[in-house]
Amino acid sequence: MPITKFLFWNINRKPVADVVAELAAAQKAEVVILAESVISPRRLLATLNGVAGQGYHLSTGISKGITILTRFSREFLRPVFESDHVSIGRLMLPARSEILLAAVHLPSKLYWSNESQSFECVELARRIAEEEDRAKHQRTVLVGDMNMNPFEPGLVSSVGLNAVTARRIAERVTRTVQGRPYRLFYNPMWGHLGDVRGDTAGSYFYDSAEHLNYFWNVFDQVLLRPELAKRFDSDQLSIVKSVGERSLVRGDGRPDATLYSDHLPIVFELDF
Amino acid sequence: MAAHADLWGDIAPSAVRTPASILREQGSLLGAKTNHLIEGQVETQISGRTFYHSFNLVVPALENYSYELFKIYHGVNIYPVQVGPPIDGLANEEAFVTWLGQKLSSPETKRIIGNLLAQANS
Repeated sequence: MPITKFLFWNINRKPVADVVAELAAAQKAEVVILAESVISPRRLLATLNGVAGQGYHLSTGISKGITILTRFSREFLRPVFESDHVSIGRLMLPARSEILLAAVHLPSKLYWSNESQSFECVELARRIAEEEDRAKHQRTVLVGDMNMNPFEPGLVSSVGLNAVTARRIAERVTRTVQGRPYRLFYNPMWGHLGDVRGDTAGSYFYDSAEHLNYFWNVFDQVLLRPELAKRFDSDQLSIVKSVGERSLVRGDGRPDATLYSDHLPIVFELDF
Repeated sequence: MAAHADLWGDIAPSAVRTPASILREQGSLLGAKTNHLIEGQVETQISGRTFYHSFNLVVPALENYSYELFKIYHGVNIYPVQVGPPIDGLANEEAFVTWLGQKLSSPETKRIIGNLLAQANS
């Protein structure tokens, strides 16, 4: 089956169109999803398409917080639900199974309590299930800046996104609590917590002088429904630290928030 | 044994206009203003003791594409109603209507509605 490559990056309102263009070209990304972009669509398209061999289109979506560009015609990605921090669309490529692409930038811990963040996940899960019912399938990929780690209740709880650590568990499709079935996601980002791959031990770093501090966080995540998880290659999922000669991280492995963003991009491939 | 006395007294709905009913009124006005190309719909969810109301712009011509313009929530006492940061709670109907007027007529809302109309007409 054909493979489609996705790139997600919260660019933190930085004027980094040229870096996005280099990154998209280097990764051969067919779908580029940006959060917190304040770059004008015209400039973004001109820069991305200025790089040889590119041919990006801007999605018809109008979400203020999510920008989506595709290397195929915009008619193949049809938004069905949006808000200023969520964009859900039906991706219908020729001769491929339709999938639902949900891109999000959930509210920050700066403004919302952990409990409110969890409730927002309940709402998001309900919305996704509703769109799946309308689309009559559950081939959904959810990607974005969750502003929560994979282990937090909003991500893990049955009424939230119900995203589990292992695809063998996700294969159950649903899990039942108190007689009620809840649809499962597989969250491969669990495998990116910690420094097993080097000094960059997550996608976002935050240090504060308080008792509970994770330092490294994996806020930027991709979650897959079981049908997509089955053919998902974990080796093709990475947190990106450099683009060509350009390093997106400092010497200590932390995101270089001065030159680029305080978040690192993630890339992954989907076979559908 | 004495008959059971009715201790309830008179019961009647509170005279206060709820935020949901105010939103529904505005939703129907939007339909009329856009030849029903865009409908303003209110979706209510109840979680625990909290009532959540989403105000959605729905475009029937785009297979019911839906844009959630904002979300508010309140408890059983209705007011204060929470509209999200940076504003704390809105203490009464008057404060809520003032906030709603600013939200619905804001440049950002106009941009979204303009974009939806362009797509619905194309």
